[in-house]
Amino acid sequence: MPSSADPATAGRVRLFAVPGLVMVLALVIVPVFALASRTIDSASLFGVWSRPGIVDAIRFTVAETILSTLVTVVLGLAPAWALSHHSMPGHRFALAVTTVPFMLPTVVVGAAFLGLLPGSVERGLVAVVVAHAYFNVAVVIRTVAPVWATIDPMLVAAARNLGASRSRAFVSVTLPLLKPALLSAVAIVGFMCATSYGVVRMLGGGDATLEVEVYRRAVLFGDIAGASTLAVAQLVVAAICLFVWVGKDRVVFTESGHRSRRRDHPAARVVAVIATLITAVPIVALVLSSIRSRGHWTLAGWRLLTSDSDVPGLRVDLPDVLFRSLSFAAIAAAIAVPIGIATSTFAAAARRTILDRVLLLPLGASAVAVGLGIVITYDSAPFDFRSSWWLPPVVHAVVALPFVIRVIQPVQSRIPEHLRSAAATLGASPLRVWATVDVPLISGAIRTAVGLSLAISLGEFGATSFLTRNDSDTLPITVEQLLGRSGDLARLAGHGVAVVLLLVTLVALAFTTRSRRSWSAS
Amino acid sequence: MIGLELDAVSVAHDERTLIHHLSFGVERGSTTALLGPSGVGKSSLLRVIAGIDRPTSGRILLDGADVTDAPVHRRRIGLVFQDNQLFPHLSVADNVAYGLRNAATREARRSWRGARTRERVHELLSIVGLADRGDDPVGILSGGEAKRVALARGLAPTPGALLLDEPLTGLDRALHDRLMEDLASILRTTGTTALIVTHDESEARFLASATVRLG
Repeated sequence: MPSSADPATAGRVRLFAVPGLVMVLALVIVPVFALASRTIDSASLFGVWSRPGIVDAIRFTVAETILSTLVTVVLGLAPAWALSHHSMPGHRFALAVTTVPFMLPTVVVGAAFLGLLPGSVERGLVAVVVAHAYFNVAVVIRTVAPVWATIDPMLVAAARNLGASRSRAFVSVTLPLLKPALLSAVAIVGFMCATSYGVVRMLGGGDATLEVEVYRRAVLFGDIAGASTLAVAQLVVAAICLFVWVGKDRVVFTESGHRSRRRDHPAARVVAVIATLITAVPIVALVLSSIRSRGHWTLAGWRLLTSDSDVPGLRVDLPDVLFRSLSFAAIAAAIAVPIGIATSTFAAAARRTILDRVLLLPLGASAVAVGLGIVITYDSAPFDFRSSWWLPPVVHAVVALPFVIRVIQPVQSRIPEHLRSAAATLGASPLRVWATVDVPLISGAIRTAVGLSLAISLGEFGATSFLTRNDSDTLPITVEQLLGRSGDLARLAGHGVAVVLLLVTLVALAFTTRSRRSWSAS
Repeated sequence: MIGLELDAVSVAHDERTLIHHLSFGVERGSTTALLGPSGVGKSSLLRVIAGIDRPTSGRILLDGADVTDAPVHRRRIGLVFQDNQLFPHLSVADNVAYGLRNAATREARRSWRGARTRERVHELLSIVGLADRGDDPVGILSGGEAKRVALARGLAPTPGALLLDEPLTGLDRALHDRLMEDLASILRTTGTTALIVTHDESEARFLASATVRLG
């Protein structure tokens, strides 16, 4: 199907972009701009910046973004080197384990660090930076390691042979060759940290990013106009960054692509083992926090979750919440993946277009603004969807869509055109070519996309916090509510729900790691 | 006088001994050819002489000094790789200048600052016939041009000895013959002590005054 030489086929291929475009338009662009047009006036547009807390939020956002990005990239380089030079058994396991944090729900990471960090730094800048580094190191590994693996060790040997010391060879040869991948990693990590919500809400203490400030203004202070102004300003800045970044054709979070130039290196083994262990520490701490309180082992939290509780304010119907989260995730994947496949098919035929970038917008939009925008936009008949059960999973699908496209599209774009031509010369129609050539060759990527959408939906927190009611909470909302209450029992139960969320997310991610052998063209 | 000397050198790869107790010497300013079939360990031996890998036993001497334990960047034995290994992020001139700007000692780096480096690069690019290609990215070079740049890069820091790993492989006949003549002339003009790996008898006879056979 991507070969679109005749106009009729080209027209049909264009139709493949419509569902994705409608989704992004209806659930991101329209709500955010409707929110802006209904609430922002000249007073809020210019006045919001002088309100208490805004300057602090901007300052904190900039500080934590710079620090988090710096720490993440520095910490990510060693495992990226190890996993690009490492060929011993367990390499794939180490790669999978070190990737897990990026896929974990933000509230799980937040809960894990609440259980791990000492009380003095449990909340505030240090906690946020550490959690962000833990969360995003996988981005550095997955973006830099595949490129590093393709740098021929003999190139460094050539530099050394010409007189360069080890460090000089790294700075003058390896680093320049890694530069595009490093810049990509910096861009993605910076972006994730600047728009961070769940981690900052749980670990920020008194500090807030702009994203959290939007939530605070809208929900705690009732300052909808101020919240809208901040949300739109953030969306505009994010969109500009996104368009510039995609326009530069950067390396993106890579699904596979390690070449065979890896050589075993004893130091690489040590670094890989240490990175794997460090990744596991917060996860173990999270599990322990659900069964340990004030130096004693206890199952009180789990008992609360598995029986009908009569503790006031702490009633959690875990099976009900779990079922709802799983249903939302299944629906979100069922929507995001087919639309992602259709969009990728369009993008593979059309190559890079403005549409390609528009479909990435959910990456840059504030999840909080999207949630708030939807609540405000779709509030009157016949478009009063605010209490519709299907709204959260559909929004989850929109959030997952850019990731799905980013997983499938590169694989589909690399399918050699002559394979499709061969099928066509054997009599296959364009649709049959797509079904018999494209789909089988991207099946691994599709499976990865399913796992990824399930994980994203299970962990989605920002938009969901606006869209669910008391009787329709998801796992991340329940974690945040329990950990926001005082008392040991609430904390134990909160960590318990986070463990459940961690487990179901890991099961969903099993799709991602099992499909690593998907086809890739050289 | 012997420029480069191997004294009972043994080389192993993947725990398999490829070369056992090999000894020979290359006269200073002359070229010796290392002949042998594929897989006999010729390239592995060059990597050991250059200091990229270590020998399992034996000594390597340059102008009478034992350099067996000298690190690769301080050994002063240049290597022109079979697949050139040009730095893809640098221009032709910057590739040639690399060994001058990144010399092992601070004094050497200082002595190659500014105009002197430019002059040396221009001199070498003129010798290999690419004087007007200094600003080009290496990605657009043809196979023969890339080999010339690799040769110029290897010669630039004036190494005590230059190792060339099958420098004429993969070229069409006409280019092969032309480059072979140029290479012989360049090595003669620069007075370089050279060890050339090849499996082509006629190439060895044309380029070298002595041959060593492996396998």
